[in-house]
Amino acid sequence: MTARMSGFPHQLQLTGADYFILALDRQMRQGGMPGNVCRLVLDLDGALEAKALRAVVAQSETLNWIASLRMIRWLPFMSPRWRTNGARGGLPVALRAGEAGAGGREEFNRPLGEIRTGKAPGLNLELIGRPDGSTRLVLAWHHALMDVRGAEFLVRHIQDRAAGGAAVGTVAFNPDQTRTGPLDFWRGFPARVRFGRESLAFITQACRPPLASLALAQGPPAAARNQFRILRFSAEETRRMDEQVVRLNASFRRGMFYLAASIRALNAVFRRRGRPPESVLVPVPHDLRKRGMAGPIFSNQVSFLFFRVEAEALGGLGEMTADLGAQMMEQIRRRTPESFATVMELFRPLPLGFYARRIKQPTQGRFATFFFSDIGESLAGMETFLGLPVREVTHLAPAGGPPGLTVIFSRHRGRQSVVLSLVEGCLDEPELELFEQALRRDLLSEAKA
Amino acid sequence: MNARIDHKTVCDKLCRFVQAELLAEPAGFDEQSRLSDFGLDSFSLVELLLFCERTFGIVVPEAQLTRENLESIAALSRCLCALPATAPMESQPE
Repeated sequence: MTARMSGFPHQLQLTGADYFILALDRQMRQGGMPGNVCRLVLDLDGALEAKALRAVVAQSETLNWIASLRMIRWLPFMSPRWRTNGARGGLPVALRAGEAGAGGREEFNRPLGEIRTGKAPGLNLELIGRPDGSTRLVLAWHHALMDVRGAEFLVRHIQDRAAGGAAVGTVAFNPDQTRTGPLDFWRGFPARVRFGRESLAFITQACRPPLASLALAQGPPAAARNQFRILRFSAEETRRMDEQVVRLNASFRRGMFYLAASIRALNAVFRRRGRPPESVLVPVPHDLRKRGMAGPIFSNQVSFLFFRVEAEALGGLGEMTADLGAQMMEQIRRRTPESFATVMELFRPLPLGFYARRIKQPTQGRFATFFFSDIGESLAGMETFLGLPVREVTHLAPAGGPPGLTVIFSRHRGRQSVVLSLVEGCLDEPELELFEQALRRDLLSEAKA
Repeated sequence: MNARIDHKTVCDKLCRFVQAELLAEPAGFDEQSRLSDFGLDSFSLVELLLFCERTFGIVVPEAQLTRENLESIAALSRCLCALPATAPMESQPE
């Protein structure tokens, strides 16, 4: 018998997106990658005492509860669920000395420790004291446990707790997930199947081969590494980027502008390789939370939109931004994200191996050309963390092979960042340089040298 | 000028939609609020434009989807009132 934490459920359903992400985790690990583990990195001016952070962590019921959750499945073909083991003080806070040089960026490529969902906490915190006296805080978590927005809510929660603001409180979980009765899965089943079919038909069509891919023909090496390249833009460059958005009349579809620029950058790499143009498929996560919500922290509250650009339509930045914007509008009109969220829920009872194979089927194993996410303003308004100024916020999403590349756009305090997360070997150094140059050129409206 | 709708009615309907469907904390939101200040992103704005299509029968053309027209509910309402209806309205405005 395990202890219960007051105010927190003993068990919850996985969301459909949690299970979908777990299937991707399986795929990544089979490809020799570290798994679907994300990191949120805060670079702080000044030294942060591990003791202070540990004290906040120890006092937080929310953190203790999340650290105590483990994924279980009672029987095959029964939906898996999260269940607390009742342990307190389970969230590890590690302390490490950072290395000098290159602004500590080489540390991002350091191999990750093992983070899984079954036996140990699915998240941990690491404090890295840097030689210049600054501190790097790294929150690493298994992606099935929460999404990027949830991780940001968690950081805000730590900050609120440290400031003594228990009442400010973020929402820890979605109460709908506490319905774990045997009949809950079957409620409204026929209607949900009908609703889900609509997006399945659309997605199967969108995912049809042939698709451009970076995936290595022979697959990644047995123990491939995840490499990161981080593009930072100054406040002045970010302002120029905003002007470019206005010029292209993309103010209300900024994410589509970023996506179009990323597709064009990748296409420049394919051209250098001498490959004929192929159609591009990019799934983009869509946050299902209402705007302005302070949670939930826990679980993935997302669905996806699917963008396809045909080989013959790989053209100008403005045209592609408009085309992607029209695709976004059409999918939201058809309620594709809600329908796909229903599909993901319906697939939860499937055994993971079968599910992972089913996901790969429409693209014949390629998944996508690359994964993409525009996080928008990251930790908006957070100027300090535990009393120290926040210098940078970096989101490190994992890459899987296939597709081999994940592109993440985010902004903090008026400065844009782009993280390229790669499976080692999918792009070599000159190709990465080319990708970066092409992306900068489009984002900043620079003439080709 | 669209004779079937008036600025105040459109503002009321749009504000109610945003408060009920898009925002978790609608307190303080009104027709003059900057949409971006309340965290309304691209996806939310698309929802809002689709609501305009359904409710007022008006499709906002590409050229009108400017930063100025999407700054607030009042700005969007002024834009809508200046456009002709392209489809039947879902219901008559109150």
